[in-house]
Amino acid sequence: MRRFEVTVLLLAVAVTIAAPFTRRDTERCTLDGVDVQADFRVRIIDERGTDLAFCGVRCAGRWIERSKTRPHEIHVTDVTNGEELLASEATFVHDIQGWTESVPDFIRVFADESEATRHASTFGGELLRGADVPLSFSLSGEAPTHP
Amino acid sequence: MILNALSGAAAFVAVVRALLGVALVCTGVWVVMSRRRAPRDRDRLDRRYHLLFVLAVTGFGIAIAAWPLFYLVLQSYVPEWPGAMCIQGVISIGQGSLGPARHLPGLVALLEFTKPLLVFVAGTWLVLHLAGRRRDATRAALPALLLFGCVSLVDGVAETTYLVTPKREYIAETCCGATAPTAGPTSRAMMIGMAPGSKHLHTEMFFLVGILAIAGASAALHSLRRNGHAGRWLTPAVATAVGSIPIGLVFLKTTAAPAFSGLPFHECVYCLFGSAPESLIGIGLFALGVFALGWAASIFWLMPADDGNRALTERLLRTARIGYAGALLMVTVRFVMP
Repeated sequence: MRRFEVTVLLLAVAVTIAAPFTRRDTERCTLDGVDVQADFRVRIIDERGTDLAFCGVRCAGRWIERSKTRPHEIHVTDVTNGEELLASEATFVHDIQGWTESVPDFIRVFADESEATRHASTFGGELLRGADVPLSFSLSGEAPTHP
Repeated sequence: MILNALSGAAAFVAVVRALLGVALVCTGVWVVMSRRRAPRDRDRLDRRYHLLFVLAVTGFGIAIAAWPLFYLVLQSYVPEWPGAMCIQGVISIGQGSLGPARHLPGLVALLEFTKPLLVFVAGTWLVLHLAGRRRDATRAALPALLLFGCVSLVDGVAETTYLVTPKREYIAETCCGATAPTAGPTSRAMMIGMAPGSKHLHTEMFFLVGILAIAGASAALHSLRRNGHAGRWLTPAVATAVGSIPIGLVFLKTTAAPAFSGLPFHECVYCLFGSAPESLIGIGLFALGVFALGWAASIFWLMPADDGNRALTERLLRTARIGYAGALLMVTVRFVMP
């Protein structure tokens, strides 16, 4: 094999090995790789105790649906103050506001139900109740539903 | 129409490409007619061949530049559309629309086909031109040149239409809308594409066609050096290269994209380019392997066998071998890396 061919192949190997070390270390959604925004972050602790981050409630729901695993814990983020809470204690609003790069989900999470109601009436949208409540199947043991 | 710097540049290049396509076809037909009417008027014919050559070289450069430019334009549209997180979201603009936007997904699909085809046809013209330069170069490559003009025209018109079509009535799917339809374990095995089922088969098929193409190119090269012709091995090698295109695309989407981006349920090639840009080099090497085998075959089938053509065919076969070997090596290294 000629020197040129060997050089090309070695360069290909070198780029493949070096490339992962040059990537920026930001938190990415486990489902689609989008950067996770702090106010919309969902954290799932799976059966093996692995901590998985998601960019929003929809992605977390889809991941559970596709992986067919039963999460150990699901934490969502209150959009008003950025504090984490259990999904079972949260109130979800399906917002009609836009979905942009910085707002990666239609679903907003609130710790306080009155705050959620106020948001829905002010900005438009509806409170999700009953079977529409996302991420609730892990605690109830019901079949996975999708928001 | 979304107007930004990239879409403006792409629209300009697309119009130039379409006009060059028309010019290539018209000048090619003009040359053919002149050759029939006044075959002994060498000066006039030479001047027209030179004009054709200049047009074709310009078109070749533009064809190569237009391929990445198209994807840069699509990437620049991502922030403009709510719900679109990557190019996959932009491509789905117009799905379910009743207005003119309903043609947008079809236009993108056409452009994704014509871009590599244009580079391949332009390259075919160039290698035929180089192979026949000791004779009447442009005449020998004239059919390839006419085809190049036609593809350039179709590509330029399709891209211009895509760029100026109003992009409304977009229905957001989810994120980039490319999550895998099937469920499976979130295991390391799946992340590297070694999970049981179809992904395993795609990986095996990819490596099989890659190795077969390398073996075919090597055998053709060996035969060319020893016997002066590569026909017996070149045909199966080219057939393998053609077969490797769909297999490579399926492998890229279903196995390489989820594995190399570290997202087992996300089958999006465009997100792979963002999360692992080095994959573009691997794809480029693979495309080079396919194209080089095709170019070598076009010299072998369309040009007379002489020492100059044999040397060029040899070079192309070696390039094809490097292309496939480089792509396979990059995939292998990525699979075994922690």
